[in-house]
Amino acid sequence: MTRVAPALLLSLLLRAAAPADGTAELAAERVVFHTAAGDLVFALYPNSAPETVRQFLRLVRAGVYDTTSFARIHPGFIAQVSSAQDRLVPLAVEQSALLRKLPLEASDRKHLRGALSLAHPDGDPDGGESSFCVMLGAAPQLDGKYTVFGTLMRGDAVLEEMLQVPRSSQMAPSVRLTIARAEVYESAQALGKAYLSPAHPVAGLAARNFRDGDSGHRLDFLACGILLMVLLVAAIALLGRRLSQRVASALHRVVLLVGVFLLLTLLLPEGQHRSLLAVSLFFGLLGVIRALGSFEVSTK
Amino acid sequence: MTRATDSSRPSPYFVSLPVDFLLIGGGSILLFLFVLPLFHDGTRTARIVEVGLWLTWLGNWPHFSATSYRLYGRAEHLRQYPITAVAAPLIVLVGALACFLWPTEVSGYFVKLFLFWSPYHYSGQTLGISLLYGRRAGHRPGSWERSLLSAFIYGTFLMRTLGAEVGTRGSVYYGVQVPSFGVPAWLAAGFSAGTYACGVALFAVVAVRALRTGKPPPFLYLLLPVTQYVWFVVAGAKPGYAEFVPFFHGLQYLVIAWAMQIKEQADRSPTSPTLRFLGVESARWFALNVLGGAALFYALPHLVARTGVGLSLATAVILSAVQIHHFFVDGVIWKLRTQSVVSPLLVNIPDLVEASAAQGATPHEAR
Repeated sequence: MTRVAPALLLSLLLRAAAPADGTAELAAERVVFHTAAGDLVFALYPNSAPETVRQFLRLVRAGVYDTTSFARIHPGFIAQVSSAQDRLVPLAVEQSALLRKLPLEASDRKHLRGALSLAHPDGDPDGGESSFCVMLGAAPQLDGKYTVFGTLMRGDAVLEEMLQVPRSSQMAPSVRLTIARAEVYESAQALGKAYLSPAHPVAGLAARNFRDGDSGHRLDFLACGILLMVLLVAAIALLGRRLSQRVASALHRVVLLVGVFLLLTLLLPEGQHRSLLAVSLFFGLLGVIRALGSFEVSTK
Repeated sequence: MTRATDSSRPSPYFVSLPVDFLLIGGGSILLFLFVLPLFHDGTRTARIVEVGLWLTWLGNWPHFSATSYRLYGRAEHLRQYPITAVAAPLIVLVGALACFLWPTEVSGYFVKLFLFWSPYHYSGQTLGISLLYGRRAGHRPGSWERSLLSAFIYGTFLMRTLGAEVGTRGSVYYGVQVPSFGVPAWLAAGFSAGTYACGVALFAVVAVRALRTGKPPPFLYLLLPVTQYVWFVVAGAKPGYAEFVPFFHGLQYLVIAWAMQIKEQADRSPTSPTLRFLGVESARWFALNVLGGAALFYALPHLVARTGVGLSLATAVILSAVQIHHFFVDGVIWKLRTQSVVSPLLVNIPDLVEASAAQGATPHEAR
């Protein structure tokens, strides 16, 4: 009895020291998803899903989740992040090379509100890659069938804002809920010092029906931009000699700026993968801004 | 206090050496190099963002407002700069509307235009104020010296901007994903080396000239490029420090705009300027600009957000639009080649008030 007592006491002390909420099993890292609706903070379970957690951190650090979006919002069920292949800016070659299928890591982790669950194609539990869901409610039917690899630590209000956005019958939000950037903080302490954006309303743009991957809007925008340039040039031509040289020159520079801006929207995504194009665009824009330095200059 | 003794030559300072030094850039150098490193590692913490925001209300937002006040406050400016005053804001407005109509396709590039132009604009201001202090001190840089000064100042802009444009990750501005150019890293390294070379050459040229003439170069003339280097390279490398750079840029601008405002108001006033006039006019002008800044950067985004646009998108787009317009306006109304701009900028405020005190504060003719 005298020998058992210290061991029992030590055991009780250790139990008392272990956090009851399971935070001891969380990875040190915290992942932040910056979205237009605010910032979401995730913590990960390296013991329950070691391979998924390792790969998720690798993908976040490589910027693979940047410009992906919440493609499906199902109230009371899930908010699903799109696949990396469906992101706004095409993946770089080295980013694509990181993507691989992950085997199911079944554990006793439950699909409760806030849980992060790796998505996979129906009938292919080992086919999960980058798309995952933030659970918006309990879904016991998914337990053991999908890998639960983390939990939402902060951002309930952000999810609530996303829920305000109207959805299609397939639960696709009518506003693109872009994840502008995802990043890893090496510890909860590092995150504690960082500035996190609070929740913002995003439902306002729902009047227009945006859909991911619809290139029609880009063409609409380009057409309007070109029309604006044509109108400006026509105005300069019509007003002709009534415009002083100084004013005409300033208007020409405005046309130039509009044109370069259109080119920027068109070519910059491509330039990100072609150094020569990127450098040309950079110095082209610099040249236009320099030209605007002598905009409507008076010497009086 | 150092004053010009020769009445035909302006004072080297707007107020005095210590005041000009602190407000034009010295204060920021002291903060970034000697004060902040004592207790902060440069992380962008919530506290830093909060302090930066308060300073923005007092320094950065009012400086944008001061530009609008200057352009739209006088009818003659509207006649003199019709494209800047009317056409440019309309074009910027069209850009902002396009962001709201096609947020995914356009807003990131619109914000990109502002974020790209902004440090270029800082550089233009630094160069202009540096040359202004040179002129005030009677220092006329030769073509080589001027080219090196310009190359060093714009080089710091290129060092910082190209460094941020390496890779494809981009950045986030109020929830808007801003793409990067993805320029190669060697280009940023090459321009860094070139900038340092220009900096060394500039100081060598200035030193040789000082040895030849036996006259030291004007202190504030050289302070400006050093300030720019500290802002872009030293503070730019630490996100927590970089948070304060816009405040100091605004402060620098406000000093110049304030001196110009006082001089022009004094010239228009039927009585000679007194200390009371100086205090009242300064307080009125600053209060108006603080209110104008709050209207442009706080009220306007909130108002636009009420039309159904999300607040983060409204904030990103409105802030970008106001600043793009500011870059247009600043490039036009502060041209040192323009005589009506440069003359009032040679004022010394204490001299202005003291001269009138010596005259007995009697009515005087407009100068």
